[in-house]
Amino acid sequence: MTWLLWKEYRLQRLILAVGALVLVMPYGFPVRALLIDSPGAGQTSLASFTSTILSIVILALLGGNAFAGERADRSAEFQAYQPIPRWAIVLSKLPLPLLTALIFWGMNLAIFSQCVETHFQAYPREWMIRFMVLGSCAFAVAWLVSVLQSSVTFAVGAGMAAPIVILPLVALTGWLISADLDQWTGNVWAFACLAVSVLSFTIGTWHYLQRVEP
Amino acid sequence: MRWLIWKEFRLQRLVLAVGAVLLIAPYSIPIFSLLFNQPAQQVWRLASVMSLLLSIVTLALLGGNAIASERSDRSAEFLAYQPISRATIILHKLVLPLAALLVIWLPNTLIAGFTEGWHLKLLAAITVIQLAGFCALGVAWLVSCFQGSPTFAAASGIVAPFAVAGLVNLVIYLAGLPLVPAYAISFAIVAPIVGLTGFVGGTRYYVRRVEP
Repeated sequence: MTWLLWKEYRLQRLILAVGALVLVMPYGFPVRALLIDSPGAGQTSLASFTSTILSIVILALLGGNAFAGERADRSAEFQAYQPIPRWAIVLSKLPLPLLTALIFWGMNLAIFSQCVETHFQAYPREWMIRFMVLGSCAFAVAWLVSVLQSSVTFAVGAGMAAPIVILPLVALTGWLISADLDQWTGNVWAFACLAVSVLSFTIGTWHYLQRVEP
Repeated sequence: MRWLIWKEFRLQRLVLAVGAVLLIAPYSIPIFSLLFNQPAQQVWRLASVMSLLLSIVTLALLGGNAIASERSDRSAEFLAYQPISRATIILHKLVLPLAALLVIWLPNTLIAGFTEGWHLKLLAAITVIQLAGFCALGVAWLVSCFQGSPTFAAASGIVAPFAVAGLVNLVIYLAGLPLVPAYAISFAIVAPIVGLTGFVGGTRYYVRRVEP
């Protein structure tokens, strides 16, 4: 299994490098404020908020590259000839995205919670949680599209577009049942994204296990 | 050379579909506001700014997919054997991203302007987002010219405006300038330069390169 993990790392290493940059970069502003005068809690919480939003992009990239990336570089066929069960391949693809999500969300949530507890209330904590759900939705949809076909760019694009497509559908449902738009959209959007992510991930994994490459 | 444009459309059609969704989806908010009989003027501006922000992703995907995806699906070698100059190929590759720029920027700017009024603050915000999109497209294009992973090229494009913003921030700090006026102006100067350099550098490299 170690070599499968190593292969995954090699496949995703460029995205991980971009992810590291995206994780750290928004904190440039609070660090600057810290160097000049005093650290603004507003800037720090805004940075953790921005970093969490950007994690949606990174998770979509990781999900989209997972299977389609191997078909694009023709290593999927080579791997299909190896004596490895397909469930082991799927399992080896999970640690990197999970670790990335854990680092992104753990760090940002910890910093954000610290800021909210001390000074800053402008960015509600539930929106941080909602963005994490949107991130998992982007990852799962990209994962599903990546399993089904071989264009990495389309898989990534579909993952990023998924939460944005779900939003009007949720709003439409709210309109049809005459609900309060703001409250309905805020709550149901996250639940719908969560349901879509579980569904996409399950269907994608199931399809990959059944599929014969290429 | 219509077939080259057709080939580009076929190569980018899925990305264009994603781009169309990202362009239109934010407008669902003002449309629903209208359905709920709520004042929608500010929401139209919000939708156009959101649509412009999401276009950074579309432009990075288009730029990143333009050349690297031909290497990954092995059609780059086939194309290299055809009796077409590389300058002609790359010129045709430019048509779609530039058309996308026009289709995304023009309606969004007009909607924001006509619903909110053409004041300086709005124009400045729109210009900064558009320049960030141009920077993303240029950098994704450059990375796409250099290597065979469209994912990495698109990711580089998406991250480029943020990297430029961070570097501008650092330079302003080192120079000891006040952040508020200097930041937006510096970003508005540096971002298009980075985008243009990406375009010119990538195009020049592509014209000289021997595939793969």
